[in-house]
Amino acid sequence: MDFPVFHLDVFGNRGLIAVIAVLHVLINHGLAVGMMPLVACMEWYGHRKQDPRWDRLAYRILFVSFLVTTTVGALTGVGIWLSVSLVNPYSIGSLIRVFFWAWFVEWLVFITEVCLILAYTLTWKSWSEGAAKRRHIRLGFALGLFSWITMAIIVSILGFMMDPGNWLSESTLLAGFSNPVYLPQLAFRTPLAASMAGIIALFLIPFFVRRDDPFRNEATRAVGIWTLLFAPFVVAGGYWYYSVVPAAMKDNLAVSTLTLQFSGWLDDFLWIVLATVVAILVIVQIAIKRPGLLPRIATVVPLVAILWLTGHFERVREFIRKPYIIGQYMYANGLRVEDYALLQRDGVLAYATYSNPLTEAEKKFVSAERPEAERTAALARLQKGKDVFMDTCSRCHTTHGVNGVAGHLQRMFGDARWTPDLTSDYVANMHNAQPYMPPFPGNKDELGFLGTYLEQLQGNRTPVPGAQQAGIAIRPEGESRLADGAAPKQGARK
Amino acid sequence: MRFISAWLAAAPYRAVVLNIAMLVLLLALVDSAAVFALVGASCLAVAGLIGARGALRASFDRGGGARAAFDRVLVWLPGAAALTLGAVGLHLAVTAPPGSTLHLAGVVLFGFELVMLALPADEKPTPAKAA
Amino acid sequence: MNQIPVPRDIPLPMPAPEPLLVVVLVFFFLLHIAFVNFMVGGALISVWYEIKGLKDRRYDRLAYEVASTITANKSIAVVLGVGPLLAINTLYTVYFYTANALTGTFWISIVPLVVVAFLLTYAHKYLWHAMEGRKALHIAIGAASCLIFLFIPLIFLTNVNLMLFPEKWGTVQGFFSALLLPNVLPRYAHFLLACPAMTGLLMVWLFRRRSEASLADTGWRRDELVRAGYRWALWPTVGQFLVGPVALLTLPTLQGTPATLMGIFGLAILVSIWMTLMMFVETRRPAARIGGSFVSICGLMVVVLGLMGAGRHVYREAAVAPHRELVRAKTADYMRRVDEANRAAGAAQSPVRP
Repeated sequence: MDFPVFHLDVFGNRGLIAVIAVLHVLINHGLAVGMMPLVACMEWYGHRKQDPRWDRLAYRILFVSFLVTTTVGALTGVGIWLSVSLVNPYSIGSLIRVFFWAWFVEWLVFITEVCLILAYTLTWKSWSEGAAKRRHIRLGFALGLFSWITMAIIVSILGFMMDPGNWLSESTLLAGFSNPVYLPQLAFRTPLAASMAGIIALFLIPFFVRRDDPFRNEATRAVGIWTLLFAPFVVAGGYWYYSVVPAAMKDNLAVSTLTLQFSGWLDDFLWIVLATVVAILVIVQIAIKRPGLLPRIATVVPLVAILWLTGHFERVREFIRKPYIIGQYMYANGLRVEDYALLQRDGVLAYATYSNPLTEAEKKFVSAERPEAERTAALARLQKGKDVFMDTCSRCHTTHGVNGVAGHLQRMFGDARWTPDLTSDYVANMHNAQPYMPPFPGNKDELGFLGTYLEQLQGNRTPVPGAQQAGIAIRPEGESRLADGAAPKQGARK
Repeated sequence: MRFISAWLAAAPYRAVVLNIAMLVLLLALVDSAAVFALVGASCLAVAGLIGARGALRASFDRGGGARAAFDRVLVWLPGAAALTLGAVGLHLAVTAPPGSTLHLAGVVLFGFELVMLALPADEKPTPAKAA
Repeated sequence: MNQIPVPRDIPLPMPAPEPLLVVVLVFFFLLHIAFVNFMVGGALISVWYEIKGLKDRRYDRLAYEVASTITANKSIAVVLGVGPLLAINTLYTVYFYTANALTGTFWISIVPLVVVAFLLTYAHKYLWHAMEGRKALHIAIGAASCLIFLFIPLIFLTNVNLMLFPEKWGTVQGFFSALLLPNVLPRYAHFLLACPAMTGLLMVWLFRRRSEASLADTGWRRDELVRAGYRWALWPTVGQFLVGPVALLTLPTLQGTPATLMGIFGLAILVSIWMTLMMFVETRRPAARIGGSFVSICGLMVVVLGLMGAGRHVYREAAVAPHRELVRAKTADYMRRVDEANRAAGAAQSPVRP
C-alpha cells in the first residue's frame, strides 16, 4: 500500500463505489443506451404516421432523460473514477495503464455522445419539417448507436477485471479486451438496457398523456411491444453469461468447496433473471392487451424488478472476482499476487511509505499508568498493528461499520477476549476457510501486530479516520527496511 | 347474485378471467399431471389457433391492415409470447413436484397466459390520425 | 519535522508515449477550462443581469439569453474534463492519487456538488418564464448554483497544488489545511477573473452576428450588447495584471527555476497587454465599427491561454522531476526485491495461492 489510505470507517469504502456505480449503471442503461433508440423510434413512427402526439411524447421522455443523464448520469460516470481512485488507486492505476487507449477511445465516443444528445434535444423544435426532420431522426439513431458503443467499451474493462484471459501472459491491450466474459456480458446488458428503457417509458407515459386521451393506450401498447421484443434476449444473454461465469471463476478459485457456494449464488442469479423477466412480461402483456386495465402503480413493479435485477447482476459480477480485484493479478487489498513472496518474508510495513497516526481513542488501549518505556513500546506495537490493518484490510473492511472486522470477530469468538493469539491464528489461515479472502500478505510479526490492533477494537467503537481527515505520517526510511518487529521507534509524526 | 352477474356483465373480460381461473383451479385440484398436461395443452392449442386466425385476418385485412413492420409485430408478438410462456407454465405445472414453489408458479403462469390468449383485444390498433 | 515521502509507482509501463499524454493533458485541459469559464462566468453574469432586470426588464431578457448558453457549455465542460483526467491519472499517478486521498471527502463531494449545481442551472433556465411571478426565489436558485460553481474550482486547485509538493503531504490534515497552502488562493483569484472575461468574449461572439429579428426580441441594440461583452472581458483582464504576478510569485520557488518558465510567462504578459489594449480600443469604437477586431482578440486570447498552459506544465514538470527520479529508483529497487523473493520462494507465479 503505497498511497495515503482514504478510509470511510462507517459507510465502508466499497459502499461509496457501489452507490455511485449502481446509480450510474441504472441511468446509463435505462435512460441512455436503451432510451435513445426508443425515443428515436417513437419520433420516426410519429413522423411516418404524421401523428404529432408521438412526437410530443418522445420529446417529453427525451427531455427527462436529458435532464437526468447530463447531470446525475454524467457525473456518476466521472464519480466511479474518482471514487475508485480514492478507494483502490492501485487497481484503477493499473487498469489505466493497460486500458488507456480503450478509455481514450471511449472518451472520444463520449464526447460525440454528449454533442449528439445536446444537438438532438436542442434542435427538436427547430428541425421539425421535411428534410430537417428526417435528419433529426437520423441524429437520434446515431445517438443511440454511440451510447451503445460507450457501453460496449466499458463492459470490456469490467469483463477484464473478472477474468483477464490472455492478458496475464501477453500483456497487450487487445488480449485484455478480448477476455472471455466480454461478449456474454455485452449480450446480456444490451437487451437489458432496451427493456429497462421500455419499462421506464411505461412508467413515464401516464405523466405525459392524460388518462382520457386514447393515445395513452396506444403509446402504452407500443412501448409494451418494444419491451416484449427484448425480454427473450435478456434471458438468452443472461443464460450465456451464466454459463461462462463458472469457467472464469474457476481460475480465480482453487478451492473446490467454494465452487458449490458460488454455484448457489449463480443459481440465485438465474432465478432472479427468470422471475424478473416473468414479472416484466406479465405487466407488459397486460399493457399490450388491455392498456386500460393496467393501473398506473403496476408499472412500478417491473421497474423495481429490473432495477433489482441489475443491481444483483452487478453484485454477482463483483462477487465472482474475489479474492482478486483484477483476476489473478491483484488481490482485493490492492497487492499484486507477485508481491506476496516478498511481503510475506519482509512484511508489508517494510515497504510502506506512510503510517496512519493513532487516534486518542486507540491510544487509550495502552494504559497510561504503565512505565514510560513499556508504554512507548506498546504504543509502537499498536501503531504497527493499525498500519497493517489500514494497509491490508481497510480496502474492504471497516472496524465497526459496514462489513466491519469487529462484527466478524464477534460472530466467531463472541465476547471472549480477542487475544492476538486467537485472532492471528485465524487470520493466517482464513483464506482457506473463506476463499473470498486473499491470503494475509504480511509476515508473522505483523500477524501479531494486527492481533493487537484487533484486540483493541473490542473495547473501542470510535470510527477510525482516514487520511482525508487525519492526514498521514511518513515512516522513516531506515525503520521501514528493518521490519524486524522489535524496533520500538514510532513513525514520524509531523 | 344479481350483484355478481351485474359485475360480470359490466366488463366482458371478467367472465373470461373467472372461467379460466376456475378451470385452472380444477386442474390443480385434480392433482394429476397427465390430466393437467392433456387439458392444458389442448386449451393452449385451441386458444392459439383462434389467436392465429385473428392475427391472420388482421394481417390481410383490406385497407387498414397491418402492413408496416410495427403493426405486424403488434398483431403477432403478443399471442406468440403468451403461447410460449403458457407452454413454459404448463411444463412447470406438470413436471415440478406438486406443492413446490415452481409448481405453483407454473400453474399461475399457465392460467395468466391462457387469459392473455383468450381475451379478445378490446380495440384493434387504431390507425393513427393527425390530432 | 518535514520528511519527504518517496512512494513506489505502479510497476506497469506507460501505455502511450509521454509527449502524447502531455498534449492530451495540456490541450484538452485548456479547452475544458475555457468551457468551465463560460459556465461559471455565464452563471454569474446571468444572475447579475437578472438582479438588474428587476428594475429594467431589458436586463432580464439579456440575463435569459446568457443563461441559455450555460446548459450546453456545462455539458461540454464536463465531457472535455475526462480526457485530461485520464492523462493526469497516467502521467502523475503517484502525485495525483496521493493528493486526492489527502483531500478525499471534498474530492468525492465534487460529484454531488456538480450534480446539484447542474440541476439548479436547469431549473434556473427552464423555469425562467414559469417563475416570472416569484422572482426572488428564481434569483435565489441562480445564486445558489453560482455559489456551488464558485466552490468547486477550489477543490480542484487544492488538489493540483498539493500534488506538486510531496514535502507537504505529511503535514496536511484534510482539505482545509491543504487549501491554505500558499498559491492556492492567488490561483483561484486568477481563475475567477478569467470567468467573466471569457464569458464576455462569448457574449461578443453570440451577439456579433445574430439576426436583427432575434436581436429585436431582446430589446437591445447590437452595439450595446457587443460593448457590454467587451467590458466584461476588459476589466477583469486588467485585474489579471495584478493577480497573475501574485500567483506567479507565490509559487514555491524551485531549485533552478527554469529560464523557459520566466520566458513563457513574460511572453504571456506581453501578449496580454496587447490583447487588453485591443479590447480597450474596441469598447471605445462607434457602433458601426465595434467588433471589428474580435477575431484578432480571440486569436491573442488563444495564444495567452496556450502560453499559460505551457507555463503551468513546465513548472509542474520542474517541481516534480527530481522527486519522480527518486520514485523511479524506489520502484525499480522494489521490483528487484520482488523478483529476488520470488526466485527464493522457488515458485514462479503465485507462491501463496491458497
